[in-house]
Amino acid sequence: MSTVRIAWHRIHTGGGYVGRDRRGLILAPFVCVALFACCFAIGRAASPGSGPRAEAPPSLQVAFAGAAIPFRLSGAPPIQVQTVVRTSAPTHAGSHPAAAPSAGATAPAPTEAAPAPSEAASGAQDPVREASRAPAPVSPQPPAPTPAPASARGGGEGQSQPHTSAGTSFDSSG
Amino acid sequence: MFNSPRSLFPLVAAVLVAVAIFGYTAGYRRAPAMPSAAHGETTRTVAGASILLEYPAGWQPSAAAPAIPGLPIARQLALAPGGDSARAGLLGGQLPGGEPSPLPDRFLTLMRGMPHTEVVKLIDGQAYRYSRLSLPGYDRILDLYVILYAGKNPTALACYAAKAFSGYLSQCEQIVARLTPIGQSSTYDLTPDTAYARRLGALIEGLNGERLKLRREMRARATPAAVGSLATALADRFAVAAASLAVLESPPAAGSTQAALASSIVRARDAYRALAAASTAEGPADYGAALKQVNAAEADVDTALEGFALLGYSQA
Repeated sequence: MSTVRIAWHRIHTGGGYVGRDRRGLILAPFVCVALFACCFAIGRAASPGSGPRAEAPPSLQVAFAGAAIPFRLSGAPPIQVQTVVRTSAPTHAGSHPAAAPSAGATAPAPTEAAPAPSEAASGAQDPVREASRAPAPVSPQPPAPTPAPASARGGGEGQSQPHTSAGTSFDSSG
Repeated sequence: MFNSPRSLFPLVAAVLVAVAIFGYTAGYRRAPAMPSAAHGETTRTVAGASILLEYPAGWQPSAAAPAIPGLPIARQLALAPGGDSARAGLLGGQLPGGEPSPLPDRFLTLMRGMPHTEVVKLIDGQAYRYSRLSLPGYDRILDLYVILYAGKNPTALACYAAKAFSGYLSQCEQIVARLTPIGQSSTYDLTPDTAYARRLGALIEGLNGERLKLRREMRARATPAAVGSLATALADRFAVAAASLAVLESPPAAGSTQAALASSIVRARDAYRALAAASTAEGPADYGAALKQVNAAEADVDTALEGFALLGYSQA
């Protein structure tokens, strides 16, 4: 019989200690478990393997970035130039004040810049327009741009727009 | 022998001591078996492309990594979890030099929108981190780190992962954080300079204010003579800005970006001079070409200014 069993026998035959010792015996496993857990944690923390993990760098720190710079030039109104298309029409050019810039400064839509042939007849009532259209060939395709002024487009990423016949307006947005 | 509870104390004490020793020993032995790789603990090193990388045991050098469109990385060094670079990995190497910004122009042209830029602190220096990168034909998550060394080409480290494996990005970040430069003299301080930004911002805002005023006037007075005169004034204003920029001392990291901005401002000056010259020309073709030149030059100024976003500066 082992020493422990002898002890058990003595305890149980001891009378007054029995109730208190039972409680002690119930608590003993819990105490052992708690002690084991504490010592396990201490041993794990004391292990050399736990060192590098504790020193592992967190997420990369971000440096302060409060410096601000404007990233764009502000939108500027488009550049518009009213100029004169000098035509070589021998009959009308010299008899009309074609050198005067047109009054309409606002550039119309591109399709309006190329008047249809049908408009040429009505435009004949306007001497300035008539003078400018004189060299333009009559085309059966109405939307086709007139050769002379329309070739000046393309400036300003398509934002330059020729205006009407004699007075030509170049529009360029900034 | 055990006539009283007091006689049990030695036994109980012995049991408790045994439990404590057993617990401590178990804990001590258990710690090294933790998955350290998951925490980014580096256990191996690999050298290449002027850098030394420490990487976790779960990662391995990879023979090839998926190419990043528009990003020509020379002297490549590839790492991947388990050596499988298809899921996730790190691609390091050198970028071409002489670019106006840390990222190559070709790469910027491909990008959809500007990336989110941060200056991050490494254990040895700093790096630009570009995230939220969106590239056509590239469906992985991509974080790009660029380190600038004095007199050398930039070093790039790309952390990438398929969406299902995005967890590897944090391990990749830890590898980047621990990189050691080899044979590099010194790194630049990449932190955006507030005083520099203030001076440059004032210069650009001053130029822009004058430009808006003259452009409005140009719009109101659209005659060739007026446009010519105002274009000359604008050209002079751009020339003044270019001269001011030439004497503005930039942080080393912003030197090439400032040089690109100065060039674009000089081109804008020339474009307005061409417009002024066109006002004396006879044909509308001169105006069209001059206006196109003005628009292109001002777009270049905008592009150059946006380059500062890639240096960590924010929009004013």
